[in-house]
Amino acid sequence: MPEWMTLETLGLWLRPLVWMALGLFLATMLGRMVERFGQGRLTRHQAVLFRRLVFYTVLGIAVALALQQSGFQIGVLLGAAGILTVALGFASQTSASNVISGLFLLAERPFELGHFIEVDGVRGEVVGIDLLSVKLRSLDNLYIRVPNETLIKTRVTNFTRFPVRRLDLPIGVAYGEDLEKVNAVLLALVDENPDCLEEPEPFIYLQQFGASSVDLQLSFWVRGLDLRRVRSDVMFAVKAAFDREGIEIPFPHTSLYAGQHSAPIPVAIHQHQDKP
Amino acid sequence: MAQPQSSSGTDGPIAAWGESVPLSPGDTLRNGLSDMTLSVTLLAHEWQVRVARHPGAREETAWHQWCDSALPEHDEGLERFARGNEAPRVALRPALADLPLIVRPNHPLHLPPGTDTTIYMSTLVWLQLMVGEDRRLMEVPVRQPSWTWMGADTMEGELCYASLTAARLEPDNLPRRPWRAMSAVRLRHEGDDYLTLDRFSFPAPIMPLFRQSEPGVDGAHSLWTPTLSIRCERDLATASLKVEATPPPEAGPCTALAPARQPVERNHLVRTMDRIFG
Repeated sequence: MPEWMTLETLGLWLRPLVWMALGLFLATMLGRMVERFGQGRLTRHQAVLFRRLVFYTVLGIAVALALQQSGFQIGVLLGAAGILTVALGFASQTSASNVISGLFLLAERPFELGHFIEVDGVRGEVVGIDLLSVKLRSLDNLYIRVPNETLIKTRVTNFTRFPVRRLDLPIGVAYGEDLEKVNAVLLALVDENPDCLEEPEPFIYLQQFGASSVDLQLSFWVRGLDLRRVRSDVMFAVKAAFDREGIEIPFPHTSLYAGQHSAPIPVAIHQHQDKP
Repeated sequence: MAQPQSSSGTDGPIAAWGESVPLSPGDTLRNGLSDMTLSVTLLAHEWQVRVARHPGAREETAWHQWCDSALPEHDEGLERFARGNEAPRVALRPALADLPLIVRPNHPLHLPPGTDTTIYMSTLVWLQLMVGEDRRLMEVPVRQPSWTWMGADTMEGELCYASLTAARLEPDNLPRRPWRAMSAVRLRHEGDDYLTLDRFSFPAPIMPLFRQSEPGVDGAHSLWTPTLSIRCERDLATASLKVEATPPPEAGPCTALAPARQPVERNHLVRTMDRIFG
């Protein structure tokens, strides 16, 4: 048996390991307890934040105790850690920037877990907020990692911040249609749909006289949760109502002229002509 | 306890609101309530509930309930619930809406200063399907209510249900429909000028529900809520609200049927009062 492998030295190695294992166990348990306690009292986002705070605090204390048990001087270690931090800071500026951006995000709280956001051209549900990055799950189930620095620098749109949203549907009708009747049909559709909010009131704008149609905008409010479904339901209903009422939804028209204004294109049929 | 009918008679309900109907395996209890058909079938190991809606132009006034031994012909809106050891009995328990209702009179009503005005209105109820002793299978509104928003702007406020009312001033003119809870809203206006009532918030979740002790001519017991008192000291911004303990005298003798969904907490009441008129 080597000389250093005595019971005393083994104990010196084992004790910190036991402290670390105990700390990890305690941190996990306490974190879960805090999260469970927060259910119903805190938002999902706050509960996760508190869980992490408790977890890392307890784990940090356990690591410090473990190092102390091994004979390390915490004060010396912290001093060394300071110097190391400066060195690492130069080497890992991006990570440090992300960490600091993450702290700003935590303080500002532009979104929470479960919110649906758009950032840097990417849309998705927030499934994780960490010190370095935010994790999104897109509608087609892609896992997207967005660095915190990007979130601080670019525009972030939060689609679930407010419980109600306005839907603007562009609708084109033929020039020959009675616009009063079109208005009445569209507003009746929205009125009959219980998912469309009665207040704020729905309205219709005449956007422009387009190339092939009179372009209208039907605007109404819905619950944020129902947005996609109601949009589809109302569009189905618009098509069915227009078919029922004989209102034409035009498609782009192109008129061809052969040199002379308004004159038809001359068409001639020649018999016994050789095929090219 | 009411006994189920084996025929398909449609002369009003078999059981009053909240009273249970005993069923045998294979029996179906059918309910025609306005635009909704609600069928509950008892099988050996499961409950089958079918909810079908066929919106019509006019709201009917009669509640048709009957029991037979045939399975429904369709599976529209079918939901199945595994049976526990509960007794083979089912009851329909009405409840008020789970969110406040924004009630809008068909036409604005102007209230003169220094007067007490009582308007009579009715609101849709939700039906809780209770089986056995008191186990809730599901809950459905008799008609799907429209959503609306109550708040100063679209950032601050809350989602509510929308409800229209004729704001009748004579209780006898209020149409009796079994699936609507009737309410008296007493408005005390102490200001100096006319007050225009174009909408107000009806705090349904904090109101209990009562049932008339005697059935009406249609065989159903009318539902009533306690009187709601709204007092405006100067204008709409200074309004305060109070839910009385009992329905108005016009309701006649009533018995408590369902407690309020939410206990009346002071904070909630204050919040409700903040948004009585939007």
